[in-house]
Amino acid sequence: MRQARSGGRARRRVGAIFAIPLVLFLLGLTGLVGALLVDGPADVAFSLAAACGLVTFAVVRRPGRR
Amino acid sequence: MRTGTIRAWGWIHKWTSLVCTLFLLMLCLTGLPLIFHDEIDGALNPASWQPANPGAEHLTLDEILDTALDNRPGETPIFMSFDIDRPVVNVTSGPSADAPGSAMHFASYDLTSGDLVPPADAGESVMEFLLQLHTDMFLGLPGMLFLGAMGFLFVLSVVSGVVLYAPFMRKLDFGTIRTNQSTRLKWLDYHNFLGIVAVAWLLVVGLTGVINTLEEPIIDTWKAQELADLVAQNEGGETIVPRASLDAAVDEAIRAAPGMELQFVAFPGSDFSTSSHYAVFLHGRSPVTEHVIAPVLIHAATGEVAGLREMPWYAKALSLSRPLHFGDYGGLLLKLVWAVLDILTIFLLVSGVYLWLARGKRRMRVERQPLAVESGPA
Repeated sequence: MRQARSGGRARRRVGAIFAIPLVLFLLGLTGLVGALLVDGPADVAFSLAAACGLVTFAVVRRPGRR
Repeated sequence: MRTGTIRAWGWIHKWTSLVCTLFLLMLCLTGLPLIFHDEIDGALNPASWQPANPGAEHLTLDEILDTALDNRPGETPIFMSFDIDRPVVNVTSGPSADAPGSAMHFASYDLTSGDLVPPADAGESVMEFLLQLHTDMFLGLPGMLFLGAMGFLFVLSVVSGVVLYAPFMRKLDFGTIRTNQSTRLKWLDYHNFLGIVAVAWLLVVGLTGVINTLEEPIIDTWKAQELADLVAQNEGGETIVPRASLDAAVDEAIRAAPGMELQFVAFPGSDFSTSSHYAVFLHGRSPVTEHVIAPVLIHAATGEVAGLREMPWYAKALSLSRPLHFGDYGGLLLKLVWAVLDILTIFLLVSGVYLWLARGKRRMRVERQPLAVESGPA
């Protein structure tokens, strides 16, 4: 991945910035719509997919650098 | 992204957010108990009712309708609906078929005896209050449209927030929370992180909320465009008094729409029918189609079947928007997810206001730092 450097910190490209958010968006959307269209045990799987953003928020924390 | 472009998106994000924040806060607070409407109803109204004659042949819908109207002399039937898990028919009546909701009377009848079923309405007034506040702030259509406009601003705020996420994160890894610097930066990072991981839910709930506020115009358009020929048959505009058998109408409707199930009947003159037809609403049996309803229209005087009228795309969108907005279409797990996201949206709103209020301090401290994109979103 090509990265520019400025002031000692790597500048990330738009694709890299949005890669994880895009996956979370698609997974979350699939969960929200899938739970509407499917009944039964799959409902639980879609509900968990809808919760992927929440899980990420709870689990992923990176300390900032000075 | 150029500095001018970032400033423009920042301006959009700031003002769309600030204008709608107070109303969004109200919508989040009132929406939270509405997610668990069924559970709250069940807890406050334990199922103790039993039919008078279990196993007996059910009364006809015409007999139930006659009983209901005998109990409410001078009133007109508006809707009839059916409980799923018990032999109960619900009849909504009012001084006229187009009476406002506040003037309607709702009563439930035992299909095995015709007796009134005691209302299971403990806590109902509180939930009704919350729903009305959430839907139109007690202002009717103007209130709904106003909240729709606030919802549109909210969607714009989310979209602009996503656009601004890129310049904010140029030098930060996904999920970075700078807890060792200023309080404002910490809140900014939480605001950005929470906003970006919840985008799908925020957009779905925001957009479906906007669609729901257009319910009245959508139904009016459906009637004006798709049912225009049927409305024209009774150009006098007078609501006709039903004479054809309701049971026969329901039977005809079910025959006209094989594979569909009865949901409710709208009587002539009501919001969901014409002034001369029974509209017998049916829904699909599969998970995909159960939220999409279609009416079979039957002339209320002659019993003549006008046929199944597929709802147009915009009415189907409305049907799907309701469950997608309130999150009550899945199991308890999905409702819990909905509730947590609702609470985190409150945090998103409050943190946005904090970032706006704290902008003065930030300007003094970090304005001249090279990381110019750290200017707050609100």
